[in-house]
Amino acid sequence: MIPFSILRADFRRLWAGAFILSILIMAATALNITVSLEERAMRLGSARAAEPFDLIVGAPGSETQLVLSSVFLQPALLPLLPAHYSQRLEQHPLVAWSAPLAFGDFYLEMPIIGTTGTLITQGGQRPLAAGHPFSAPFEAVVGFSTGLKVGETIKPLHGQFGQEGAHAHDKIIYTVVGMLPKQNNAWDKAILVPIETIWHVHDIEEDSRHDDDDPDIAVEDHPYQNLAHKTGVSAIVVKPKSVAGAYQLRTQFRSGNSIAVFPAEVLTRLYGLLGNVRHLLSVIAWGTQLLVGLCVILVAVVHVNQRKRQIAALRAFGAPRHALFIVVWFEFVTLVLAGIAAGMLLGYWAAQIISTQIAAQSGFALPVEMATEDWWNMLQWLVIATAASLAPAALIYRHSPAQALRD
Amino acid sequence: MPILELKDISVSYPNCDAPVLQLPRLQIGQGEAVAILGPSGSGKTTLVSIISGLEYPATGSVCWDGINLNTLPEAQKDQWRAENIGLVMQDFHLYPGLSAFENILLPARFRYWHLPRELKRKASDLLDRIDVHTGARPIEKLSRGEMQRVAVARALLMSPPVLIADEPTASLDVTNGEQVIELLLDLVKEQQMTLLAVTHDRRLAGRMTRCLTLENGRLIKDGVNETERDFT
Repeated sequence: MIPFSILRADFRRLWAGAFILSILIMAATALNITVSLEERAMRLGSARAAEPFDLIVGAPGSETQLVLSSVFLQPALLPLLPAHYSQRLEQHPLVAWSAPLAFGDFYLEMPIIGTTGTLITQGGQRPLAAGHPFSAPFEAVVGFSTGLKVGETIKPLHGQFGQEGAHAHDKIIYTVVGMLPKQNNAWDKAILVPIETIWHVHDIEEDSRHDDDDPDIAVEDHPYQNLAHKTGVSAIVVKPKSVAGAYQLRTQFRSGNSIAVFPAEVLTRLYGLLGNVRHLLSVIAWGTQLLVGLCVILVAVVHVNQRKRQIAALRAFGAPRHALFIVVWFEFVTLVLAGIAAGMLLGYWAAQIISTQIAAQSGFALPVEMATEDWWNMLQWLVIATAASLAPAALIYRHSPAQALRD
Repeated sequence: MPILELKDISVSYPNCDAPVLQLPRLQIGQGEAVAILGPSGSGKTTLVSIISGLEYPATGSVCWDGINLNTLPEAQKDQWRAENIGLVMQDFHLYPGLSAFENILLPARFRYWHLPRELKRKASDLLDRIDVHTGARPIEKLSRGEMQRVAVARALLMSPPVLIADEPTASLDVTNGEQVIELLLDLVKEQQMTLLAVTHDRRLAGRMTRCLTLENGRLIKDGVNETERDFT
């Protein structure tokens, strides 16, 4: 016995207030959903990006930086590991395949990475999207999203444009001979070239012949000083033959002169840190939602008090209290439901936009996926909002119709 | 046989020293048309609230056709009011955003999941009877006279045996006031209802069969058509 005509009339008459309340609820819900989705996308995206990298060996230093630089291609100060480590790993009986990485040059903000054909085909397991792996100096294989095509040529820049010490290698021209398949990570915007060419370009081979210093370690004094005058690599990607082998390799290469890390392990530690940030963001988002909730209840109480006379008149005409209670409650629940539903859509949409933008900028895919946890969260909010809407509606039981009509 | 019987009624409000209404005994018979007169603050509206079951007296009983309203639980009292009392108020209390037709049907909508066709037909007939043909136009767009006629039609939809009108012409101009008086009396006569009208309007009071005059919460006169002398 709910006269829906009243609901229709009320929403039509009070559309502006109802709209603003819904917008408030929608914004608070969207904020909550976006934080949750983006945090999960970050975890999923980084975990998926790290999947192809079972073990990474590098020079002693920050494990996190080693992973960030080699998995996510974040330019940073990395100490160099002598090149003979790469040869050792290639011949190691526990290793299926390994490939060195040398960072330093860029083309249009895209990193040029010195490596070997083994990384390109991942030990002969991965076909290319186009062309073939490099087989001669100054050939390049590009990531799927570089915008470069087979046959095109590029001139590398040492360092990134606008940075101190950055300069063009004018006489060097790489020709694109192949394209990697899409990987939805930072490597989609990478340009892979033979590591020997990188060394050659930076005169490393020549300098290293005359260098009698400590043969093991050379520390960079510039983010891209892979090109220090030593034969060195920034990192070595290792594919062990077995899980047990991976652990043995990690132990063996965690000596004083090198470190070996499982990216997944480092990421887990990073998630621990991010988890705290996520918790903080969640608290802020929930706090916002709570404030909006309180604001809605306040508005609801004021609104019911303002309608006291109207409600009293309906009582006088014989409308039962419970029916009026349901009408008022139903109106608020409808607003809250609409706000939450729209907020979920907006939050999901905002998370998609943010992920798309991050992916466009970094090539790092952030998969936005709703999880059961999100639905439970929303259900929880619905239950709380539905219960909270009872409070203003319950005022109907407290108002005396005679008193309200006299006022 | 009285349809309404009030005994030892006393109503007090927290901020008032004296009771705002004190009626040792009052009886109203079926089919009577009673004007309730008196100056502002004399207890007229309180009397209407008491006899329509919107307010409880501190003491005494209000019996309608043998039913003591004071003993009814709130929900039953709402139902009793919906079935037995038609209310017309000075401020109309029509629901904004709804058409005249929807306003007439509104109290009934709280009682039925699905409105009987007869009620819809009756609402339509009442609209013809009060000469309001405004279609789907929202009620707030109608003139005050039209609005009060719609309020009268709303009060009559469920064919209640009693119609209570609280200052039905007070907010209307002379012409509209006269139209509403005619309508009210004609419909009450047609449906053989008991009419209780709180009014300052001599034209309305003059058409009633009985006049009660209140002053300071007490009944000081109970007679027939003494309006000329009693109005303030």
